Amino acid sequence: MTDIPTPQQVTAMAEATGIPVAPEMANRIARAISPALTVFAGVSGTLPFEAEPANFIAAQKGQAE
Amino acid sequence: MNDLASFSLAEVATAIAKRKVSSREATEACLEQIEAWQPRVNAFIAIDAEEALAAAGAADEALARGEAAGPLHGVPLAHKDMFYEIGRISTCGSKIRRDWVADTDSTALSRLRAAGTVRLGTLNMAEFAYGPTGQNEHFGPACNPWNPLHVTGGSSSGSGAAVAARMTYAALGSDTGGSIRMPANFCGVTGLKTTVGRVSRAGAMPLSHSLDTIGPLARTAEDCALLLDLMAGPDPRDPVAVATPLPDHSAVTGKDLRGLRLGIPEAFYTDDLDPDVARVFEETQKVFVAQGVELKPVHLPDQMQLSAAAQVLLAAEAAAFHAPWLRERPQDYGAQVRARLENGLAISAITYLDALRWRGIALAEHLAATAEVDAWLAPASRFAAPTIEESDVGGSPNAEAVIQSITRFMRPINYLGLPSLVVPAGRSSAGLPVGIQIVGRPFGEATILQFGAAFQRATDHHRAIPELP
Repeated sequence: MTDIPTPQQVTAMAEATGIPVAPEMANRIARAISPALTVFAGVSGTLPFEAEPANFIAAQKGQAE
Repeated sequence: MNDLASFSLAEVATAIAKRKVSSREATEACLEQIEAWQPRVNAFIAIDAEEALAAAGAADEALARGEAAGPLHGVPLAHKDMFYEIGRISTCGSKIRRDWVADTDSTALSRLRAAGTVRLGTLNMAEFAYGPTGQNEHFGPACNPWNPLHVTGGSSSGSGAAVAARMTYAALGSDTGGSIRMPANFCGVTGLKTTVGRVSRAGAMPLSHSLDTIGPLARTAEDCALLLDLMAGPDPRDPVAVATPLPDHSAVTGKDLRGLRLGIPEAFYTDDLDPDVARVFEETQKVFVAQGVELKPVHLPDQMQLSAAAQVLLAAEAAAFHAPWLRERPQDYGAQVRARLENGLAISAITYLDALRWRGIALAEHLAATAEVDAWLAPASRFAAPTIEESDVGGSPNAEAVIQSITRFMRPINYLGLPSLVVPAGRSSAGLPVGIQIVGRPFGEATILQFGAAFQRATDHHRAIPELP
């Protein structure tokens, strides 16, 4: 399941990266990314256990012209 | 306007090779266009007129000795200011890199240089290629040659404006979320987003290593094919640019379309279109039918999910590239770019990896849905170029929503890593260009260039040239 962070969680994640964010900025970030994360949540909960990033290259090559 | 400036890339390259015109004459024609248009459209970041004329003179002398460097010998070009050249400043459209001197070469640019091109200067772009409109707080916006109150599209904003205004015969751009196709669409030129892995990204400024692609903006599909043939192929400096069958893209542009099948999406790309775009999309389909193409409806998987996944990858990867500067120099970013980079700080590792893990599955589903067509057709955007004022959202709370609206038809294609060719296909009621995109299979650039070139033989939208008042 995709995490849709609250402003408080945004603050914590950013600070863990060494980038402090003010409360209004954390609010803005949470609002900005939540639409994409909400849509993507419908995907991430359904992924097969074995799916891995390199499958993209395999799909590309398998279907290449 | 100097007639020589109106030549296509292929035409001017042939004319120089046959010594019907000189490289110096072609370069002077471009410099005349630059002098006339630069104050109006701000397409260039740096103009190197004297150097260009000297290089053109040297190219003419070499040709007189029978020493042609390659297929683009003596052809003047300029490129988005993010393709590194050793010893030269590459601003990447930013304050942070305003004086940064590259210590490596872009493979794509090096291959064009080896083909004999002359360097005119560097082109404007969205700061760090992270913006779809062409606005730039540090160098000023590039403006649309068809109406300077309107955006060029971005991030290859200067490339779109300069090719449209005939200031250069072609230009390199990059496309991570529509950055070649949006300016091609809004400025009325031809733009090719290549398959992930077709053209080396080595020595080009990164934005998102999963999504970044390099490609040309030019006047015709034939020109794009010529440039692709010179740039494509494996590169040990870019592990993604691996050996795949490499067709002669220029050779296919002369083929007709009889017997080919073109998919028409049943939804998403046909929803809520501006009436001008809907009209152009219908007219375009008729042009293809008249050339013997069979249109087939295609039911594509959920494009909003693809778009969301692209947004996750782009936000997280861009934030990772920029994290050191976000810590040390946050005040040196423009407001919108900084806000978008900060969005990436809130993507969890699991969400990011899920977006990568889903990519192969999503591509396989897409290819199954389009298995019965050779390519598919879609508008490049729901509307023609908006005004600079109405799209100037800076770092405001609704900025991301506005950006998503502009790039709605771009991002799913980036996530799937597919090639897509935008060609000018008509005009809006306000006289602004309207483009359509032809989307292919992985490494299927030859097919979409074949479609694009045939469309341009049947129409003259790509020949329209903006005029100075």
